[in-house]
Amino acid sequence: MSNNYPIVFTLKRMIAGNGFLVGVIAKGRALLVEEDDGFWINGVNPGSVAAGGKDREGAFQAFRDGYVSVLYDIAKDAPTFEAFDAEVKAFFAATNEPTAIEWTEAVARVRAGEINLPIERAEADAPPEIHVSEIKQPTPQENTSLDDTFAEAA
Amino acid sequence: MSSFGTVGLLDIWTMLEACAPKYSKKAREHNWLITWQERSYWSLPRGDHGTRTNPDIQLGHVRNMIRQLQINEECAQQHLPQLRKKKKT
Repeated sequence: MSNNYPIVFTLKRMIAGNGFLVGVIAKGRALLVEEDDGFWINGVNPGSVAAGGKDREGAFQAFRDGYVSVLYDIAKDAPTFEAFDAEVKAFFAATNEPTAIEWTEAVARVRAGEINLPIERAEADAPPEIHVSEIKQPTPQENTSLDDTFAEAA
Repeated sequence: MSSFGTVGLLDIWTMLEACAPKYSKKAREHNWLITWQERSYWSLPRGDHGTRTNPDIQLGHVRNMIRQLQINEECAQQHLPQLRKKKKT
């Protein structure tokens, strides 16, 4: 258990679908696991995403790519904005229950000072949330993908 | 094996048929959408283009899917022994 780290993340993407454009802002949770041959990250919310990399940043990037690939899949199949909105919210809300338990245990260990990642920290108690908004008139302010963050939940 | 080890997709289907009877799968552009007992897993990778019949899938994806769908882990390990993690001594 000593190599499990609780992560909170914010990912912002603009996604094009069938006749609609949306902004998706996810504030989620995931568990970073240090293994002998790299780092693996399992989603809590959304629980359906997992990815690994040789180092921590590689794992974060792969997790982000996996998350976005699901948004692309949903966008391709959704005939309307409403269908996209409903499925993305279901995808995000589907908690990986076993990983959620481990995430909570890892937060307690961070707070006890037993583990510590050399990255920014963020509030663990903030609930996961996702915002999906239809963009009727795109502006440059929608270009926010560089604002993605991964932080240790504390 | 670690999360970075791999297993063939066809072996995953065999495991699901045994351990998640009546599961459904839908191929999307990048991922398989797997559904079983009203739970869904959105991101079982389809593999690179050109190798999609039986691509190698990293075990970390398979473990995460098993946990998300709440498939019996012992059953899954019987069909995919690669899922057993090495015990540290």
